[in-house]
Amino acid sequence: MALLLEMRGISKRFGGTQALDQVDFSLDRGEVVGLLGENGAGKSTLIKILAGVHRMDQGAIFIDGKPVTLQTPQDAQRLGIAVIYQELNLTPNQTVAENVFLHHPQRMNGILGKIGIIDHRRRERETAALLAQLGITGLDIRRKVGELSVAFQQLTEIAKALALEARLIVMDEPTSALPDEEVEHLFEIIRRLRERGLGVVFVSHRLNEVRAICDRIVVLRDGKNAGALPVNEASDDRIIAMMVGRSINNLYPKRPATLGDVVLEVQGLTRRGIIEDISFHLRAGEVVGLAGLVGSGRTEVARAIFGADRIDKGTIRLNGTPVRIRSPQDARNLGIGYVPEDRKVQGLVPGMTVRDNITLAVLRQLARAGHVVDRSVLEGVARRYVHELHLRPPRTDLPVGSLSGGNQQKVVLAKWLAVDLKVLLLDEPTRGIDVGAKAEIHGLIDELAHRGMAILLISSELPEVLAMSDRILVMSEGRLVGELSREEATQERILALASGRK
Amino acid sequence: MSKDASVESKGTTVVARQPGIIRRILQRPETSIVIVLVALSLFLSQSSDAFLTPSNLFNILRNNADIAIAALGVTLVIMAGGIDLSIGSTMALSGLVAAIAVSQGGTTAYQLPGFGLPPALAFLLGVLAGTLVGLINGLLVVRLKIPPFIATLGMLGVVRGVVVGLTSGQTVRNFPVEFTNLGQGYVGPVPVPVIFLIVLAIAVGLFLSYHVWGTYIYAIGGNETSATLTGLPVERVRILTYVLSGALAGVGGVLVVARLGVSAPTQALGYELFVIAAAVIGGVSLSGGRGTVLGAVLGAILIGVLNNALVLLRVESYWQQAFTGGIILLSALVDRLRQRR
Repeated sequence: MALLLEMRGISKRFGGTQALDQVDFSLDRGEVVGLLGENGAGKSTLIKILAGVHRMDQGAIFIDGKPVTLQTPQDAQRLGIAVIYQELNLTPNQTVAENVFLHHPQRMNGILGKIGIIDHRRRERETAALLAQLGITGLDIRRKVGELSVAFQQLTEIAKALALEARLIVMDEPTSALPDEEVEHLFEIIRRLRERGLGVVFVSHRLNEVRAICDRIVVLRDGKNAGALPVNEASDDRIIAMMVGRSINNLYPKRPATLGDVVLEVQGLTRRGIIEDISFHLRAGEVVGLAGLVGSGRTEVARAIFGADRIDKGTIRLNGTPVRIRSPQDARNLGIGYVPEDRKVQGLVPGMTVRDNITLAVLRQLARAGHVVDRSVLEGVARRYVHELHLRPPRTDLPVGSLSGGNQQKVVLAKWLAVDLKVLLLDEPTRGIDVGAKAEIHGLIDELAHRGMAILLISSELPEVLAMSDRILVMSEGRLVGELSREEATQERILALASGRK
Repeated sequence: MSKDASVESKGTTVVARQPGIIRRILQRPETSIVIVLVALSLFLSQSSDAFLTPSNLFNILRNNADIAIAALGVTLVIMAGGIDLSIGSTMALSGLVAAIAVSQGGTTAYQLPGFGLPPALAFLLGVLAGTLVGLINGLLVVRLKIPPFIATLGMLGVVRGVVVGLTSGQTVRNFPVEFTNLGQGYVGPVPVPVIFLIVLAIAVGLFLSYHVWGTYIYAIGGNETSATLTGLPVERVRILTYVLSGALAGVGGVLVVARLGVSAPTQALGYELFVIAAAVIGGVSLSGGRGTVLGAVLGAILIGVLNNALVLLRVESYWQQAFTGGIILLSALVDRLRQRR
């Protein structure tokens, strides 16, 4: 029997960029294929062609061996292709059942159905049946989707795909926003889909996940096929080498730290119902990891210190002096920087140039008499960081929105490096960034610590926390539940603390 | 390739090739307005002898200088991600305040008395009134967190109501010539309102390009969350945009009274339509973060020429608004097409 999906010689060009060049991809029934590649390698373009969002310039797509045309998302839907994007495609103010049958509402029988009257009971019944098939429990189909956790929202998307009779589901980094214990649950669902004979494309950056769930991997690099192999033949080094086109010696360059005085001291920090009684300190030259499940309050701790959220209680000392931080402006003036977890939404002004983004936080300091902007001064500062951080391409005049994720993150970091910082709060600094840029950002974190900066590193990637931190704090449900030294910390111990087990 | 240079992967970036100078000029939003202006002018000079005369052209500029000045202010507001619908009412209030201050008193029963203050002082008081409205707008939006559309829509009604209430529907007239000269006079061949426009446009342009807060305005309009988390004084900058918008609308409002020699309660009614249209036609993105002063001025001139064209082509003035509305839709469409590219 012919393969479920075959894509042959797919090419796509955007302006001057060849996003895809003669790419082949295939997927069989009951198969889970991992689609890997760095950002910009062409994964999203390939997915979007499959989803009918982009049209390919060249190439052919076959489903069940028959050539098909994919011009619109409706075409894809009709052919049984469902794509679950990172930014889920749900209407938050409608219930689970309404979302699942959004595209073809269950109508009443007879004339009422003809004029578009919806059979609510039937819709709920069938939604419940779908969820049961997937072995999903605990999801209230009458709840509004916006009130659900990300994990449940994802399951709603999967049920929606099944309601559309999808035979092929593409999941674009489905685990990036999931807490660890939910990942395993998602994998069970994926296995169930596989048993039912669906084909699943699983896009991820995390090699251990790909290893856990995929049968085969396909790697793209620079818009071309870089290799495809069964997952049990693929070592991590080999996959990374395929993705980057060379091997990376050291993903976590970390030198032994020389600790200085306590720079930041947080005592009893509380935001009612969110974070409770958080106390810790950071020393100069120290990288302190802040681990915990998604939603455990890590981001909120950083935001509270940075003055982005109001706190109910607690004191913050900087170099021994109590300080009042009521806004990010105050924090910035005291030498505290914050790199937020979602750089596009919170960290950058995408339409402004690299130069203007890098100098934004110090604009006033760079301006003549604090008012008049001198472009040549800005250019000089921006240029320095563009070279220091190896920004690619090494230009200051491009809009930041046109850069890759890794380079965007470098711009956010550069913005804070331009400020004379004592404390840097990093929130998921390498999320969604490809391996090459990741290694560079890790190197930068190490370098900053060596220059005497105190760094708080929030990360959901335990290998990163373990490798980069001198000390690790663990949070659970808004509280600090443990502190581990670099020597005693292991993935198991962190997870045990984070999930509330002793 | 050196080791350093190879750490980052290649080809991860969408790099636009540096476009040539001609392309860059063509891509600027101002260029399309200039092209439309030239085309419209050529057409008009063919169909009416009256169009391409210096006096007619200067008249167009003079009659639309107030709209252009107000458009400078609303450009700042829109660029910072807000909107100001209270422009027309603000102009009327400023005009009224200046008129009452400077008027030498009523000559008929339907006119209000005045204070006979010096024209410069009256001008200042008028602008101050507009500034005050702007400040209230800013506080409503920033401190009380009322969405800009609603806050300024409310102020549109309140301020107009105050104007009508204060005057009981009567007009204010009888101004000294030093005051009316602000609207009707010339410096050499150039009408005084046009001088005001040129000076203010340059000032606002310099502010946007060279003042720290100008960059902040772009940043806030481009991504407010990010601007806040960068530690920028977002609230103060946003309030400032409304204050400047009010002040510039105030200047425009006083100039209208000086030009017409009368302050009527319905003055500048619906001007927000023209003013916002001028800004949008000029390339200000309604979603914030993008726009130029030159564009806003050109947008106002285009509206002026169009209105003039309707007169010269003997289209009834009743139809004017429909055309302006159509132009707004057209320019919004152009804005969409530009963004898609």
